[in-house]
Amino acid sequence: MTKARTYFLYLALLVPAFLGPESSTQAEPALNPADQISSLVKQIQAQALSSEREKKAQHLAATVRTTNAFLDDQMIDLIASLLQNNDDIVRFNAARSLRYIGPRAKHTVPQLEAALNKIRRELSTKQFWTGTSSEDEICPALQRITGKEVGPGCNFSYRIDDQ
Amino acid sequence: MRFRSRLTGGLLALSTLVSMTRAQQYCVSGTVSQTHLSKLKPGDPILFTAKVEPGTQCTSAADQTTCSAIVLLEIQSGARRWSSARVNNKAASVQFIFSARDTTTRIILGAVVAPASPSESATPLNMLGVHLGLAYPGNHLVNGALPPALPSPTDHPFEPASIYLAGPGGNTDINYTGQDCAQQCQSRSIRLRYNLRSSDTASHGAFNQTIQWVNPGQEGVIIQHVTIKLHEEDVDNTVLFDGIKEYWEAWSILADGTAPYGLLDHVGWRGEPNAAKGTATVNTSAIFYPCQALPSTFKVDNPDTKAHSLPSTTEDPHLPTKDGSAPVTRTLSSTWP
Repeated sequence: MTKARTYFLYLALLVPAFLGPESSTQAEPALNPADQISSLVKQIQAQALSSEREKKAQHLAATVRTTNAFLDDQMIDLIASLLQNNDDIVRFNAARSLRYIGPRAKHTVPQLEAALNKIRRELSTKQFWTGTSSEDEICPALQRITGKEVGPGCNFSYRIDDQ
Repeated sequence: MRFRSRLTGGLLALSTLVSMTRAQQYCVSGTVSQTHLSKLKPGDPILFTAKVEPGTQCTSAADQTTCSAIVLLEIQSGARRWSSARVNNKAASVQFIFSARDTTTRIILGAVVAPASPSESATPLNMLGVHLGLAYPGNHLVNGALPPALPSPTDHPFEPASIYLAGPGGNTDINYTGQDCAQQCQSRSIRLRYNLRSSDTASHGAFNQTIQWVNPGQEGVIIQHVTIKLHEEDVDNTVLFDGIKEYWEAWSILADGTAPYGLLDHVGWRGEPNAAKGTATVNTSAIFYPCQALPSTFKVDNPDTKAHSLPSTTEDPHLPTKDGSAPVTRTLSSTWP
């Protein structure tokens, strides 16, 4: 078997090295961060199953967590567009993504505040409540993006370093 | 009232035993034989764990069946850890290929991984390419399905494993030593703790408390049993409402320490101005289950519970309490006027 000696190998190179010339296996090439984000946002918007939207939204946040330095304003706006999604778990992960991006997402503050008002209106109709909602990611996002101890419109300072 | 209409059905719901299967994963261990990486040295143990993500696909051709799955790959060597999660989940895959020609099942795992610690940036300079190849005699893809585990190396010795990491300076070669997933997530005795973030009360019995769980720092799930009791009476002591609702809600903690649903929990009751007097009580009991995956019955935005974006269910997951931490219980109650 021939081993590649370069230090950064993608699957497209790795897999055929083991399989040999008879293999027909195809590996999916890695996408650049902007393409990944764009693809995930489109999948979230087009996905009919809520459970799949949730998975894609979590994947989006995990991807942004590691690639946020490579994202431009256009990509940030694309992520922020998910704050209008009907699924609260999608809004939750969109806000988490913007939190990872931090102050560079400052122009999305009005959209975050609108999303905060939306979830507040939803919660105000409830008699009892437990658990979490998108408010718990919108407020930490506002806190980090604005650099304020308590995000605008929020009730208290969130500890955001351990989740 | 929405809460009342749901109480009746919720009270009579039968509990269902939930299958608590762990996520399908493949684990291979090895030791470093030679390396150009400064933070590894010959003899260091290395553990590869590939957790299958949904979407497995199998294809059949005239002379071979192939199953491929996107996986989350974790590599651990002592305190050093790498993960494909910090690069791109799609960058890691495991493939099983059964060839009818030589009746051999080949397993290939390939990925790009980055340091799992958030303090280390994920840049091309500290990412690693991963290649792991195994081959066993026999068809381990019965009916073309991804097998539940790798074949036993003692039962099927066939071909020495080919494992290496490609990083700055050259390759790191790994000697195959075996397959064991048990080491990856070792259950540790953990005391579940939380910090109070806010606590308020208002008129007509309203209350609202927010806590934040202290991250257990280990893969697993916090499951909290919630019981809500509401009793309301009119001025002439006529009972307006009396009922109980119960459900379970969960916070996952992944192997890399992240919590996809956060770690906050709000417990609130808005008060009832239309009842002259009454009592509202919320009891919660939470247990952390190390190495436990989120049971499939838990759904986010579940309309049958009050947990909103937190996964929740009205079906008792029946997890054995001996496997979990000591329960953390809270009671929030108010009586008015």
